[in-house]
Amino acid sequence: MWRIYQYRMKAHFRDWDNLFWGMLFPIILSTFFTMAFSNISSGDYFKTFPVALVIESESMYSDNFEDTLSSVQIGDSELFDVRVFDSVEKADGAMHDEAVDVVFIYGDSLEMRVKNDGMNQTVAKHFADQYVQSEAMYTHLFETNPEAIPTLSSFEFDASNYISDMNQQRGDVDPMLGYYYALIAMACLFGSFAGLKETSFIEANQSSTGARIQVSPVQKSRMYIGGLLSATTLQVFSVSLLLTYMTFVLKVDLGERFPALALATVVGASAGVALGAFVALVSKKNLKVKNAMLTAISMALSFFAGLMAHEIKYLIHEKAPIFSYVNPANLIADAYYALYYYPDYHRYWLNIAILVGLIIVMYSTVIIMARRRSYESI
Amino acid sequence: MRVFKAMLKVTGKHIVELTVYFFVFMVMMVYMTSILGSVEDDQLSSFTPNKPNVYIVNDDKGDPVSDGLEEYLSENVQIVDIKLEKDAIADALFYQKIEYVLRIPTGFGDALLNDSREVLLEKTASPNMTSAINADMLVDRYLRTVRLYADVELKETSDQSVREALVNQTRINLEKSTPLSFSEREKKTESSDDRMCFGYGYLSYAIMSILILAVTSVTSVFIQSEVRSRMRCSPIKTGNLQLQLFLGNLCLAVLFWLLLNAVIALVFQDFNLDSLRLLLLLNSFVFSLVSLSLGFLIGNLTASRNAHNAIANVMGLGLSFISGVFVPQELLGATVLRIASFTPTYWYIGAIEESFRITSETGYAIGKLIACLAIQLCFALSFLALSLVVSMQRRRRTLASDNFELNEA
Repeated sequence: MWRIYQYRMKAHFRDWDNLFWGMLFPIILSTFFTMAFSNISSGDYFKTFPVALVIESESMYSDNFEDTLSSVQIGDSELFDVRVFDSVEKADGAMHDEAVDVVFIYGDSLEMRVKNDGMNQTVAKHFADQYVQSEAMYTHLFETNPEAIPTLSSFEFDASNYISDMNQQRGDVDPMLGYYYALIAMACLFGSFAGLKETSFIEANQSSTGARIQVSPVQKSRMYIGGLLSATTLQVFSVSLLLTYMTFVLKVDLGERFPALALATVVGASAGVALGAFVALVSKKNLKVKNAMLTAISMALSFFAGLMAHEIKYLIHEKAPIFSYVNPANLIADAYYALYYYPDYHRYWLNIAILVGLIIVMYSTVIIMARRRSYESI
Repeated sequence: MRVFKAMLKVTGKHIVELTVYFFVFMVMMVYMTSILGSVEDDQLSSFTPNKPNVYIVNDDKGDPVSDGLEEYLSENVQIVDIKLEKDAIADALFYQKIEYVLRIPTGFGDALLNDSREVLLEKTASPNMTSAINADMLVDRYLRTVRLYADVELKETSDQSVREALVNQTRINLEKSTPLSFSEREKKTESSDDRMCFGYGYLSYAIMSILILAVTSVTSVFIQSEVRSRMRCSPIKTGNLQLQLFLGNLCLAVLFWLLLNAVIALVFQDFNLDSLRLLLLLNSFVFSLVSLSLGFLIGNLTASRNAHNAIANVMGLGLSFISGVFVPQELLGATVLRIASFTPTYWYIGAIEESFRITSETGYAIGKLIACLAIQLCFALSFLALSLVVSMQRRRRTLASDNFELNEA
């Protein structure tokens, strides 16, 4: 068996076309992903953003506004990067060139101008509303209840004292990661082609090599184990290569739990190879059709795991939870997701357990179908 | 036309395979356009939402302060109303279906007014997200205003009606807002147009993947060395032979083009052929030609089925991602778009946008659309030329090796 394994490995490494493309294409795709998402993820996270300030009539109030504007802080960084302009036209011009996102105009009262709507604009609007509201409240209280002024000036309030943050997840929210997980899942499932190749290499009705092997005095189980093991080894290697590339070149954060990542990779790759062997034995069509079936199956499963649109994975999980638990691509993607996002290993183990279950089911079918199969005439 | 006929026969033998390809991409296309197309607005705006999606659990119902907070938030954020378990909340946060979860525990209203910090609001949100900061600001503003009014105006706040008055006053104050004006309002297309745009964009992914897979599976039969040797000793010129092969593939392309467009028409339930529809049909036909010649080139390059699969994926998926099929072009960086402009998919998407503008804006020049189509045709021609070069090269190489074998013998 060991020898069969060795020879099959050698054969894989000599099949240069398959080897090259099988390893290269997920790497190229992940590079495309990074290119496509380079602008998006950063947009959801808070960054100091530039605003323009135009003061139409200078007063104590306008000074106060300018001071407040430049001193608002979120965490350790300032919320606004304030640039003062002397006319609304100039500020509008700057906004047109996207040098600033928002223009504040302080005349008799505070006004705001924007070019389009967006998150930064919304944050700025909230800030301006809050400012206007406090201003109105102070004016109102000054007029109606002057003895409250000492309370007012000593009023200090920190809302964060009343809020406890319950977020326990490990990683930051980044839905774009979903695409990478689905890609890893697809790369694993592409191991099915190797599984198919190994099986058709052994079965006599699939290839002439198979016909020769059938009459050899080697036990069929040994051929199978050796062949499929070599396919799995190759697939694990190829997925690891992808993961290494993602982590070190594309800087995709996969969660840094290396032993668990390695296990997920091995299980995922095995599931891919098992799928190939399973389809090869269940279907009686020729090799080309089986190839097409595997392409279709692995693409469709990865599609439902969120390869083309990350929402689909969530949608399926909501609307058809059972399907999401038997879809190997989704299980693989979800295992990586759980490693990145969840603090405990519960969900990860659930995914791995179901995957192992699926692998056992697929290989049991393979054993039942392949054992004692012999050919009277081909 | 012998080769052409043989080609059709070979295609007939691959019918199951081709059906499988067609079926899977069709299912994905239908699913994408119908499910995602209908939530397209939401999906697009999820990159720049004005209102964060907030999920509120109010366990302190009946207390005016807590109810006021819930009402105030529901006017200023997008309330998500679904029942969620603990894991589901975490998932929904990750996929940004929810951006902020706020639980108001029993007794919070009392605790806020009495300044005791025993009962706290429980928020679950991913740190540093702009949308969460936004929701934080709203909560902060409400709590601050309630406390300020309570401190300044009232000393005794246990009475229900006093609390209601307090919350009312707070709400009146919080309704004040800054006047807002737009310096230049960008024109927005209607959402049905957006859906159509998305549907036709996605069509490019299906066309490219199917055609590469289908054309390569048929073409690769003809580059097997025995078949090739037999064809070489027939009295047909290579150019003629390649032309006939290409024509056969063209039939295949036209067939898939018709079928996929029929599917799109069925999905949108839209069967009238207006000028916009005709332009989109023309554009997708030109793109089919590009995919066809690309498939032809790849089929000539390698006979390995795995390689075909891999290339079809890289081309179909990869180009779709960087050219604005799955991710709208406005969200892609300038560098990425510049790189994408060296690919046909970019010009296909460009042509879709131009078609919309030509049919919706009066007096819009047609020049850009023609340029987009012409560039796609150039891609098709260059792929075709390249595949001819490759097949010539291969011929020379096999000739040389055959001669070598003859000499050896």
